[in-house]
Amino acid sequence: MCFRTICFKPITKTLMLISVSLFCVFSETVAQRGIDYTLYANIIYRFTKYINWPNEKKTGDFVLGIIGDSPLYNELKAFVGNKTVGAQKIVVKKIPSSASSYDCQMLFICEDESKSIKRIAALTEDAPVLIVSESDGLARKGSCINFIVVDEHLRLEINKTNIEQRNLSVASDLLSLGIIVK
Amino acid sequence: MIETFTKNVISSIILVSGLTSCYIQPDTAKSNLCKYLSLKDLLSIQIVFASKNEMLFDALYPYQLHPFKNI
Repeated sequence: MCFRTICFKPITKTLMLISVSLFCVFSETVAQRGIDYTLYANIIYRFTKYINWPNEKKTGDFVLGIIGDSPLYNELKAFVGNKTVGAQKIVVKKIPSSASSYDCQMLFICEDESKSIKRIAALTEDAPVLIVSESDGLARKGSCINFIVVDEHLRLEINKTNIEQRNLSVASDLLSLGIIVK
Repeated sequence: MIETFTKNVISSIILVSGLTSCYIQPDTAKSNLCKYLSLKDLLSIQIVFASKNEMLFDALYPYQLHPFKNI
């Protein structure tokens, strides 16, 4: 009895504490890592090879803005850490959805901020900002390129009109890989 | 007894914080692998749903689809 009280109780308590802590840690990370954003980060970086920005956007840093809270931010930071677009260093920035202007070359709108798409699209209408999103139907609501999952594969919905309205040009190779929407 | 418990609590906190920092790191192995794939190849990667209800999924990378193929 004495042995149990002295030796096993603290161990049991500690094991319980570790179990609860690990549960909290892993449930949070699984929730954050549900979608494989490594793949998204790679694909988003490739967009810089297929889209041409006007000369006014070819100076300074190449800013890749993210609206919303997503693990994509860390994935992109890790992936584009020492990469460039031409001579421009790529910088990943979190941008609040309520911002009055979006001074960046590419803007990713996370799923939880997809309701802001129309407002953001209207604010950046005349600016050479490539809007990328990840919710069904957003390519028809103002996004330039929208990620969707079809038959267990990532697909790109590309709105060529939205891209060209922003004084950006898109390579035909990219158009051939996506689903063109109007 | 209190000392033992305190030691255990401190060591468990260190363990959990270590695991947290390791687990939250972006998956650099996958990132490095994807560097060498074209956009077409990236879009052909099959996404496997772990749980359709919760929309959790992981991707099957080409080395997993073709284990004997060098990429």
